[in-house]
Amino acid sequence: MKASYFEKVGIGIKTVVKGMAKSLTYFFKKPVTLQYPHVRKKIAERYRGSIRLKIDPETGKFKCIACTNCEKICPAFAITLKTETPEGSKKKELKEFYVDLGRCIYCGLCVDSCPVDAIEHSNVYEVAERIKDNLILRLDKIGEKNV
Amino acid sequence: MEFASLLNTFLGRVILSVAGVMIVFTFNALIAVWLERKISGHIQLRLGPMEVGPHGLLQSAADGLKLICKEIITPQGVDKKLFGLAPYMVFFPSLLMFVVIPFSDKLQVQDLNIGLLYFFSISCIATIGIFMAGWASNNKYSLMGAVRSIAQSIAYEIPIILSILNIVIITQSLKLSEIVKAQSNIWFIVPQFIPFIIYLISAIAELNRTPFDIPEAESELVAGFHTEYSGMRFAVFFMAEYTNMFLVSAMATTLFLGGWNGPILPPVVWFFIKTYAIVFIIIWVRWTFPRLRPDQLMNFCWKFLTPLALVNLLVTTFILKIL
Repeated sequence: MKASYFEKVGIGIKTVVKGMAKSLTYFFKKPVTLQYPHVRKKIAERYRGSIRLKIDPETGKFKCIACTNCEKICPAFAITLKTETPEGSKKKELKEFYVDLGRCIYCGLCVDSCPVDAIEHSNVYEVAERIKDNLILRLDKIGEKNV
Repeated sequence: MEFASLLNTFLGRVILSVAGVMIVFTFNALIAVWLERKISGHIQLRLGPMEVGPHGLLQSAADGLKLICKEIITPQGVDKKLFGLAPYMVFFPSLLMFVVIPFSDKLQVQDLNIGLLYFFSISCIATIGIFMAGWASNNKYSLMGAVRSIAQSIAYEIPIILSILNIVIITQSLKLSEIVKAQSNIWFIVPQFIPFIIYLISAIAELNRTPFDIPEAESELVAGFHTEYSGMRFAVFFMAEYTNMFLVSAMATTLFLGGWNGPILPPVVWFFIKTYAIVFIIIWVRWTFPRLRPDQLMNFCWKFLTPLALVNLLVTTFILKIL
């Protein structure tokens, strides 16, 4: 049965009051907006930010043994290693370690595949650059960006 | 010349009034736009403007500066004279309406004995400006917006006047200062609550604000009658809209909330507190409800508001006759 005129009026008043009350409660709630450049959200402990090389605290050198596992496993071909074997030694040594953040998909396979636990995720997530080449980072030099 | 003697000359009064009105006008345009953005933000769990000035207070000033700097574009095919004149036809009535607003017992430009009539007749002129804008723009959306605006204005003028008639009958006066004085004991919102609600709803409709914003419905008509306007001309329309919002709230304060009556604080402060409380309600309504369809809008006016206002008027007169 269709609502009569006065029933409709009653329903109208009820819904108007209900809607106004709802928006007023929202008015007094705490806003969810973060003032981004001034306030940053807390990053989770295991956040997969751009990668960096770990330093062995005993020797003060990079833990990396230049096995190139990370380079092989990287699905996006973001990691490039240059290694060299010094004369009179059988062990390869790390010469240059590059990561192209423009290619990196932040999957974390390099971190998982490292046999000596030499790579880790940092919590850096603001990596925007004006020039594409600046996204290619050399990680084996302390003092470079993101290291 | 001394300040007091300047007040007594006609020219002095005119200059001071224009200066005062312009100050209130500018102040209100800045504050009301900021309030609107802040309140809408907080209702939607956002913060609103935060960057320019403390809590974004200077945002409106920055926006105004930007609009002033923009080029004034006159599109091809428009009626140039009407197109240029229309914003000011909307703008000047809102300045003229300030004349009768009683900010306090002494602060009033001119206490006309037909103040109420003056206010509501001047407010109708703005509709002509809106139609001029819509017609001169040579744009179907503008014209549709203008036509809708006129239909809406004519319809909602009736409940507004009917609700105000209650006050006029009670006070036996059209003079706004006397209406305020009559409320020194009890505000008219108490005995006349229904007319207050009718007035508020119709006033929102007259202002072309959501939920009655069919003349400038964004999703249907781009921006309605001011689709073709940009830069300073748009800013004039925009400021007029927010000034009208202030004026309508000021009139609601005068008629129903006891005007400048109030304890402790100075009368002017009371007047502004009450006015901005009404402004808050208008903004609150806007950010709560969706837009009505044109036929719903007309039905609501003719089938609900007008009969209710008429019945209320009848009851008021009946009670006054018996007492």
